Amino acid sequence: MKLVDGPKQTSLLIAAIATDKRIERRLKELGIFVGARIVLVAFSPLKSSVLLEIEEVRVAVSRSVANKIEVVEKGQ
Amino acid sequence: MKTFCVGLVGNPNVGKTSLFNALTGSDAHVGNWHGVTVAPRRAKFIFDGICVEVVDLPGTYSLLAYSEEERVTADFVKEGFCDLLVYVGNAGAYERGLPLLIELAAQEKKLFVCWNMMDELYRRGGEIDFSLFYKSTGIPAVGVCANDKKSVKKLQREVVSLLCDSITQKKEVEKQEVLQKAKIALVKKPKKPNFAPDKWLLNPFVCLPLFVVGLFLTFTFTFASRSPGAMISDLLYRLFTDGVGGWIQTTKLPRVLVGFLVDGLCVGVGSVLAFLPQIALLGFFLSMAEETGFLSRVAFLTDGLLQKIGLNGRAAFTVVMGFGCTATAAVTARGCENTGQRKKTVLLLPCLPCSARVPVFLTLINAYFARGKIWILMGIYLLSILLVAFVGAILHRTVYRERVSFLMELAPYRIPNAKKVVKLLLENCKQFIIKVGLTVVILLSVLWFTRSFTPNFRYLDGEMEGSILQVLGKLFLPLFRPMGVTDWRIPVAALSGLAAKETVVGTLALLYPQGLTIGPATTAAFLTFTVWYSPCFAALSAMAKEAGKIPILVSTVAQTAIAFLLSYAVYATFDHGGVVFGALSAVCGGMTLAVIYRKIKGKSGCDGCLRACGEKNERIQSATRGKSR
Repeated sequence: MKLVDGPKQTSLLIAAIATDKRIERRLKELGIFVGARIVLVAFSPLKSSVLLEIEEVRVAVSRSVANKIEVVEKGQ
Repeated sequence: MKTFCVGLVGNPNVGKTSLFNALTGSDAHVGNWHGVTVAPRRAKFIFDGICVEVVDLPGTYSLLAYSEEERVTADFVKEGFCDLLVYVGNAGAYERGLPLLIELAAQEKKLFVCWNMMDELYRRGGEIDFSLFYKSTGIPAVGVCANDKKSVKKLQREVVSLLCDSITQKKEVEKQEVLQKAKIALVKKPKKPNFAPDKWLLNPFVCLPLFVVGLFLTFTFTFASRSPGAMISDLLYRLFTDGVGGWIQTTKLPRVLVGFLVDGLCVGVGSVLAFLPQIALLGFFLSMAEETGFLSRVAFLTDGLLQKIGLNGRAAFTVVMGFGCTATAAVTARGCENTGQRKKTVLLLPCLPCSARVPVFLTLINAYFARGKIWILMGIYLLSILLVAFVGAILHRTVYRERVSFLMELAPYRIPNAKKVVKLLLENCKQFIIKVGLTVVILLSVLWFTRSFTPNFRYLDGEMEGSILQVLGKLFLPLFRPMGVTDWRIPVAALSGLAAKETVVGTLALLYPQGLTIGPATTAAFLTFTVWYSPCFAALSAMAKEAGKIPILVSTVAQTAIAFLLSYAVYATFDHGGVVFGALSAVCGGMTLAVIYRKIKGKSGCDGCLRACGEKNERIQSATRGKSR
């Protein structure tokens, strides 16, 4: 499922990322890459972006980018 | 004495500037958010007779730059000259910093690792073995806390000994190998940072009322008649006018000199410096938002609104800084992802009232509307935010249509320590005093001279009739007449604000020794004008550097024209026909703006709109075809 449709406060595993190279690289620098475990914490008002928790940090990601990230629930 | 050069490199928000300040004794701006430093900063320290120049670089996640500020760091690391690179990492987020460290290790430069914020790591139960780190990676490392003098001394010693050491470093440059080996050094992993306040602060139903209440409390504490800010302000004013001014009058100095010192400097500078506590307090509350990590949340919360005008949450930092100083805020816009975003953000800044305008607002409000002071001030700020949204929407629909994705790490919550809080407060005071001491004193001296002498240099001794300033003021008077201004002194006050906004207050004190007597309608109109007319020259210059001269020139002319029109409307509302006339002109103005907006929107056309328009056209065509059959 798409990250934006994922359940909140649940551990999710990133299955695929389909953005351009530049954004993919920045996502990797922020700890968002295929195989990483993340938690969807909150949506911003007007749902323009999502807040993710990756290990010890929280990262805000645009909805347009979050739409291109496929996740699966942990254990699936 | 030979000078060595050392570059501080690291991820954003790991405390590089705090460390830079601690090493060199500088007082560069620090904040708990990503992108405070946008340009390299240099300062020196001397240790054991060795001079070391430290370069504080903008934070980056990698040497493949994503934004302009990151490019500066990447270029410095790859091509710039330095004797030693000091990698500054956040000990509390140890593993996150390793990818950049690997990239730095691959460079042919001496490298030293400094794990900052060790206090935070220990508090969260973590531990790093530095000898193990050195053994496994071949890179010397030290743990420091920028607030602790002992650990900073230790860092200075280590850096100097490494600079004097001529032995070539044997770094492990095999990427994966270094990563695995460096990971071993984290012998005890720290617990997660505390994000509990996010549960409430990121809820729009909680954060929005909290914002309004926070704004109200800040204004009440700073500006209300019996607030600490207002009381100290009153004391300072009396000290200058009655104390220093009174003493000068008792001396036997020449009459012209007494006139200059008392009327020119004591009254003028006193009336500006009287706002020192209020400006310092306002700056202090802004700094608190930065220090606690709240500003990062503001960026996330406002992202939706900023996306509507083609910006993203990152621009919130610049916008919030704009309430402090427009010139400083313009520089922070370099953190934006591309040139278009940067220009657009900078062009929005003049819509926001900077803190230097606050003394002007207070002087004008206190003259006739002292009772509703807090509400008027809040209204000015909220209207300015609306204006930002409107101007942003126009810029997004016309010139800068590009959108950029929002990708940002949120700063952790931190409780600012008392020492830092006092330092911030003193720093705000220092900046204000320096500005008053330089620009305002010079300008007020010029104004006193032109007010006290005729064009053929005859001293007027208290009179202003026939002065050089009167001749100058009368030239601009026609522009101010529709605001009900019949006095040449108001245009002069407005013009003096172009050098520094605080000067308007000093000029009014100098030219109206008996107090402001222009009537409530004209005061309201002039207040409207001062809220939105052109920023000072320093701000314009900083903005032109970031956004280009032509866009800034156009926006300044347009902004001042709008400020004139709005102030005319306000005067008309107060003076001719009151509320009905005002409401009518507001409706007409609103309709005109809506038409302009729709025209622009129709011209650019979003995907959705074009699709909808296309469907509508098809329906009309098929209906017409049906009729003709």
